[in-house]
Amino acid sequence: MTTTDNAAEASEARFTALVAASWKRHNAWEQSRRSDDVALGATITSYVTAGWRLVDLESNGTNHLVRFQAGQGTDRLLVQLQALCEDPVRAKALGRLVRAEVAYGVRAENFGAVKQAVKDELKSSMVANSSEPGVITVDGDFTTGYIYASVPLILDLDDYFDGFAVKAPIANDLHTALHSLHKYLMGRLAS
Amino acid sequence: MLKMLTDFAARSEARESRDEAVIGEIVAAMGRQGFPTIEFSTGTAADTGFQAIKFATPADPVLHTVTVILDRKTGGSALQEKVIGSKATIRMVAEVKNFVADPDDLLAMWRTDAQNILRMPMMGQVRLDHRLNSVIATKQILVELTELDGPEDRTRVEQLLWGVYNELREALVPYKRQSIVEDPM
Repeated sequence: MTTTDNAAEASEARFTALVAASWKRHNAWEQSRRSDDVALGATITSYVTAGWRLVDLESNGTNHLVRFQAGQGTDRLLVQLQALCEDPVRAKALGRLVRAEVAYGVRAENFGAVKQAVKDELKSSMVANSSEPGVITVDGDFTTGYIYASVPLILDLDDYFDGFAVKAPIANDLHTALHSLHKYLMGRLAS
Repeated sequence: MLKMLTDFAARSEARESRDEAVIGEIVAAMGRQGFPTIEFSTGTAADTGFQAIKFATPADPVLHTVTVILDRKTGGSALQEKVIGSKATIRMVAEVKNFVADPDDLLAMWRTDAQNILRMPMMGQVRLDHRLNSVIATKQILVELTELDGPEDRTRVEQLLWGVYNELREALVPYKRQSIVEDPM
């Protein structure tokens, strides 16, 4: 092999390495941009496989909302995800953060309960920090007769996903929050 | 009275959300297969029956992504559902990506596109299209949503999905080139 051949081969190897590295960087960008979509899909997969029926799906790319109804009942779950760090620089500095608002809904037996929930919702929306993590709010839906208790959380998707692969099911943590909301709502409706 | 009203609202909601229930089953079937969702696009206020979900296919050495588009055509009202059913089209779009593209690909592209010009995805045929460094195969089928929206229909949903998936994959195998770069998905 001549020196010219060696140089050409080295140049080709360098070109291959540049293309491979470019795709790796492009992929890092894609993974930051799409992590909220991956989380949403994993949430749908977990709940549907567990027997919940998807009844609502809305998404504009960064804000997502899904609503499920119990397969053998009327209870409902609502999960809203909002991507906070789609930019890879922010994702690297803060983690792949999403604002997750989860809500548990039960069908009210009487009109008074829904009316009271709507009143509570109006009152709580006047408080400035009602959207901060851990603040439980209650609201009612006259059309369907449901009362929802919801809580906002901020989750780091790096805790649940390695790239696009599931590390730990996000639905487990969402379900923990929903379980507490269900307990809270039952206590409130009983009193 | 409230119970009567809410029962009516619940029945109407269940009918209206049949397309979402099918999308839920599709996402779950893909998820169980190890295909994560990477893009959601849902309809506008004027067209609420449209949902497009893109999946990465990391477990498949040939395909790069698969998009499932469900577009509900009928069955929004009780009368319509009773008379003509809840019909929707499911369009599946599979993509092969070659991580390095060169000018020879442009020549191949024109040849394939000319061969496919008369193929109609809506008539159950697979149509191929080139996008410089990716080749896309599309097939569309008409489905009845009431046959796919419950947990008891899970096997039927999976059969439908994997049937179309394998058909598209088969059409794309010849276009997947040995790559110097690993699929980053």
